[in-house]
Amino acid sequence: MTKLRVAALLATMALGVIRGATAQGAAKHESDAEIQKAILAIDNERYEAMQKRDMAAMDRLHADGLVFINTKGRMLNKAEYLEEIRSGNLKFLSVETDDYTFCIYGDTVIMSGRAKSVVEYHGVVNKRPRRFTSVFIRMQGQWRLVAHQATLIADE
Amino acid sequence: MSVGRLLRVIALIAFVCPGNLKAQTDIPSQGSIEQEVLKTEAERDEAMQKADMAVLSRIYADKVVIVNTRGVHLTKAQRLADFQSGDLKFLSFDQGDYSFHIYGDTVVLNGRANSVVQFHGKVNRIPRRFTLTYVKQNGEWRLIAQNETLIDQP
Repeated sequence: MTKLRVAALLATMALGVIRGATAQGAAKHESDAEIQKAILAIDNERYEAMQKRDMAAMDRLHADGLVFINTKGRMLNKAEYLEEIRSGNLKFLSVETDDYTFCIYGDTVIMSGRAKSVVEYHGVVNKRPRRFTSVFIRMQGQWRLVAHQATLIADE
Repeated sequence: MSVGRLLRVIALIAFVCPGNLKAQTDIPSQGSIEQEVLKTEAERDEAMQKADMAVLSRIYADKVVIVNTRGVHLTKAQRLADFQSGDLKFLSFDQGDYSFHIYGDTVVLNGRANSVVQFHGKVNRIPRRFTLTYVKQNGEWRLIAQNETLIDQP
């Protein structure tokens, strides 16, 4: 009986090792197109949350270690960035992004693109187009924004 | 199956699939990762000043995404060509105020650059904030994204 219990325990451990290995393999089979679709969906959700000032969604979609660098070269952490949205100091009057580039490295995705959104920041309206780089990382199955930086486009 | 035979099978599985077991025991400290990335940064800085294309080519990932201070998106080939031709030159090099965020084999490095840069004949002394994203590939840290923004002068 004891032998049987030991055998069952060892078999369970072996299955755990096999499952772990296959789970890693399965993650690799997700196509780039599927990942891009997931990232675009998350980014749309993020813009919607910004416009509605949905702070619960904002908290969920941004990593605790978020670093956000705005077009003035000011660096904000998650609390500071979310406060700008919550207080209304940062408002998106319209959202328009395009010209995306995606680079996928497992659970890390670089998304770069162009934004023509009209933004009001501390009462000043900015319509100038900008280039941005967003870094998304999948944490416990959820994509989260860990870094974002935007730079004004000089010649447009 | 006897217990002894089962143990041998498990040992074999652990040998064939060591990733799970190794990942849990081989986790480098935050400090050592920061040191590794800073070392790569120091190499990159030196290579930029010397226009050492071999080193730059090794550090920049093939699909690196670069956004310069003018909001122009550059590929690896374009950035390397800027260094090779001398269109992009560092007249002095000064960067710091680093912050690191480590997510496994991905590191986000933020900082401030006060370097004096000459780009297509025009000298730029305005300080800038940057985000560099590194991933570890085959034991080497490689730069996968770089974005720079001029710091608005009050």
